[in-house]
Amino acid sequence: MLRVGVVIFPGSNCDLDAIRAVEIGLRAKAVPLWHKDATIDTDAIILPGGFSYGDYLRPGSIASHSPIMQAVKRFAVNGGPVIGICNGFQILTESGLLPGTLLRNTTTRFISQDISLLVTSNQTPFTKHFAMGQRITLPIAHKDGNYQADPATLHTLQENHQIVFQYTDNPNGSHWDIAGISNKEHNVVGLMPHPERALSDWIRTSDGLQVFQSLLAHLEAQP
Amino acid sequence: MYKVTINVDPKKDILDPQGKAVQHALLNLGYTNAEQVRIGKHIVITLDGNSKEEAYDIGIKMCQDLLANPLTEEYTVNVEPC
Amino acid sequence: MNPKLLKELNLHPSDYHEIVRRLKKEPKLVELGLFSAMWSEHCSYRSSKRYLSQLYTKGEQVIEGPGENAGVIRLTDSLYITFKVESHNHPSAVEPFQGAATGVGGIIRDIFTMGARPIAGMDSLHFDYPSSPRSRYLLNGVVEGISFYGNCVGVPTIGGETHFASCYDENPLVNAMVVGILDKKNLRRSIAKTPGATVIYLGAKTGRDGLHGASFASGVLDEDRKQRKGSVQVGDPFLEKLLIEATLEIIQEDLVEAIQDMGAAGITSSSVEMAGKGELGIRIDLQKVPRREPGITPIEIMLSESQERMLLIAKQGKEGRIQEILDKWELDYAEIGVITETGCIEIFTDDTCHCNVPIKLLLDPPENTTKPIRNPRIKTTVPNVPSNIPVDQTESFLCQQLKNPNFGSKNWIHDQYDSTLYASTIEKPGLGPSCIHIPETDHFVGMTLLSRGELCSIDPYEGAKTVCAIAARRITSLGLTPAAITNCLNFGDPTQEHTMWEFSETIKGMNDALSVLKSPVVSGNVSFYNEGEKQRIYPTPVIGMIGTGTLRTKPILSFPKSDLICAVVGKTKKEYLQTDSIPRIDILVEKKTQDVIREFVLESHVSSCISVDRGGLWYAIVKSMLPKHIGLHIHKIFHEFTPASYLMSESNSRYLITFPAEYLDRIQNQLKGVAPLDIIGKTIENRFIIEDVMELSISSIEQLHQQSLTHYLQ
Repeated sequence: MLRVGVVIFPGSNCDLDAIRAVEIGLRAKAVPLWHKDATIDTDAIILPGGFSYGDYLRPGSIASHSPIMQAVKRFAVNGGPVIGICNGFQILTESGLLPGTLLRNTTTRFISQDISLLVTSNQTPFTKHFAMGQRITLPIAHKDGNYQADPATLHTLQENHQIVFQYTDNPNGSHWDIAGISNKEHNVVGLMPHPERALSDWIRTSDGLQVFQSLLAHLEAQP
Repeated sequence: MYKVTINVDPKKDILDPQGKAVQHALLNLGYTNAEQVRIGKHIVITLDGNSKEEAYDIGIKMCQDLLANPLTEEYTVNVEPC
Repeated sequence: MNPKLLKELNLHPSDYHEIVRRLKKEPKLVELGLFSAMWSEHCSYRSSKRYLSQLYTKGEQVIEGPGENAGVIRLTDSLYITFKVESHNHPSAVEPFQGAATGVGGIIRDIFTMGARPIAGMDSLHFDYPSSPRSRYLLNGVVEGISFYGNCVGVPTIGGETHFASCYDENPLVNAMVVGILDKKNLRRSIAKTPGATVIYLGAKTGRDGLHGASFASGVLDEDRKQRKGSVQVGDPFLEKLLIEATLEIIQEDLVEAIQDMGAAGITSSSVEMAGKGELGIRIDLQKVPRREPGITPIEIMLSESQERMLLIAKQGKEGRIQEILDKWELDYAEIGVITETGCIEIFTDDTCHCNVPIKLLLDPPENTTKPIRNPRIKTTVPNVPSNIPVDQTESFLCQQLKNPNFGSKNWIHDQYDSTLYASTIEKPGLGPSCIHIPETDHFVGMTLLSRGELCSIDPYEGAKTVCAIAARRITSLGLTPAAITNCLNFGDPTQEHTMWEFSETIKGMNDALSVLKSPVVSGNVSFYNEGEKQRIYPTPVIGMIGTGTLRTKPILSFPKSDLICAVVGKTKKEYLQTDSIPRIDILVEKKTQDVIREFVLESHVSSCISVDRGGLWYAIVKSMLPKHIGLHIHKIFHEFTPASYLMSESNSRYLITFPAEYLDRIQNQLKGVAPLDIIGKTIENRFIIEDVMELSISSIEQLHQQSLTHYLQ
């Protein structure tokens, strides 16, 4: 059976939703990974959302130094699929696995809303099932989702097709309406919206399911 | 023109959750001699004033009106000519 | 007796004399401190106990009624729901951000101390109109505080209410409710059972939080130390999150005999109450208590309100495993004492005894004997609501209502709260009741938190009945069955007879409604002294109702599409708020109507259903039109009403429903003998029309609705 690790930092609170998404969307075994673990033995990794270390100092800053991040880095460098959702995205940028940084929303307030997005890359393990330019709705819930990077980095993101999701109606001031990006090799993805909260039409939108189904297809296609 | 530098810090008795979390993180990174961490704000205001004393008084008033929460924070004001 | 000391401790001289009489000696300083805390209104309920004991609290779904940290009801054979509402009014008036934040923190602790994971929160907030700068300051601070704490600790805030009236200007109300879910084998109570059991302190270190201006040393006020004021309580939601996870792990491994959070009066109330409930004693060694301030004194330790702390009584031999779990979550662990058979609370530092008093005395303050007598000179400040709006003023009047921040959009508020965490919330906040799906089951839990202070100010008995009825009406509109309630009773000065009259009438009204609605009280909180020099608040009972059931389809509250018949179930009469009367509530009619409506929703006989309450039909229509921009064409004949007067009537027991034409006969048949059906028109695209009277686009209505609050906040 496929195994997907869900890293739990002190203060992570979307781990339960991520675990459920793995079980429902991937029909795989969700493996909780404690932030102090030194090794990882799973087929994919999710860094879930929440408020690791209370978002103190800078969101994701303290978590990025947790012992498990060494193993996450090795896994990523070896091409393993890694997705960071919301606080997970912040941790990926703080640890250098993704470029740029997430700053305070330009409204300076926390925003909890269902938001419309465009899928602008289907080259990643998490977006294979989407059509280019597909419009989806996912919930956002964050205070520091304003994606910024220097001009050279932004240029590279564009050139290499690393911009994966864009807002159709920018809620937080992110440059180029960026809601999610990948690394150069496309195996590490970070996004601010929450696909793990959008698995059922009972809960307003099931567009998040395709993220996990894409990962399933990707893993099943591996030798 | 004057440069008014203001430091706003949590009051001595007040719990500083952020400082506590950062101290813990420093300890975990090997900084075992970090005994206490308090985190405040550093504000720099360029002020068009008539004298150093006036700029200082304005700085104090700004702290009282807006920049500091008198229940939980204390502040110091420093003035230099630009 | 030192009058200054008594004043600092907020202890009345008559209480002091009673303490001396009972102890047969002058109390030591720490003993006096304990009495001042345990005999305070907040801890002892001394003004309200005798009325609260009359509350309707029995029901077959009830597992735990009032008396524990939170109430518990059965959801399924293996799952329980626990919930409670609490106030943090006075701290929020002083420091709105931290007051609200620590209020949320406190109520969350009451939930997970029962062994439950907190899964949803709601808040009832009351301020003066946002045209006042102070009101805006409080609103901003409170909303940010709730957002800061609730989002970080990981409890989605999914509903509630925010209400504006000038009577709250000096006394804002901040009532926070949290709901939790637990496996029945994890239910834990706060009753000490075993002499010799270890008492363990976990969580944050103890500082001088909450000790406003009080500083003590050996019975004499030290003049120098008087200058050092106590500090405002600061919440640390990150620490609380760690505490939730550690506590739930500890409970799930069955390591605990009893557990309680340290709320008001911290170590004092938790230790006295846990030992007292078990009719046992407790001995505390103060040098073991983790402290944040090196020079903190014994009385300061005992009265400190530092947040995010729990007290637990370990099962024998389990102390080591408890410490392992706390180490994993990097939380402080300290064995600070032991349960004894003495029936007394003994507090020591090494060999120095600071306190040795029988717990029974601490739990039994003299009751407040103020008689409940109405004072006819105290008049309500609620203005008359206009009852006959001329036809040619229909549009301007209805638009004016939209500009009232009481009826406008609260998106500015609830968009700051994470409401989608746990992927279980059916709808965005704003439509009235909230509903969550319980994963891996087909069970749903509906909840609503509401009040109608203005009704209660005019008639506290009928007003309280009405609030309970509206709560049940909203739960019913989801297709769910009311199960139980929690309540926060916000009132003025309990030494005034009129206040106690309002309070006793409120309890009577609640009982008369809840016994018919079959919805017992399982938990609650009382907040007195919400009275300033110029104003007293409306008596404001806040009711938090939980409903349960299984659903086959999603409850639809707003208009889903055009070409549906739109009708009002229930009789609309010329009933409005007047200074001497409020709309009648017939609780039997209310119950009968609810039972039929619930069937309609469960069997999908209606396409949408929303309860009609505050703001009458107009507000129900606006809430129904906005989500999908489906409008309404009203073509009914108004008879004795003008159109606006009809829409603004506040008659009770009514619902606004839509359904396809072919269901009309069936609906009329099922309503025979229960409630009238008044067809008012048809749903249409994009517009609101009253035939021959007015026409507005939904977008223009939406704009007015959106701006009613943000207009003040830009």
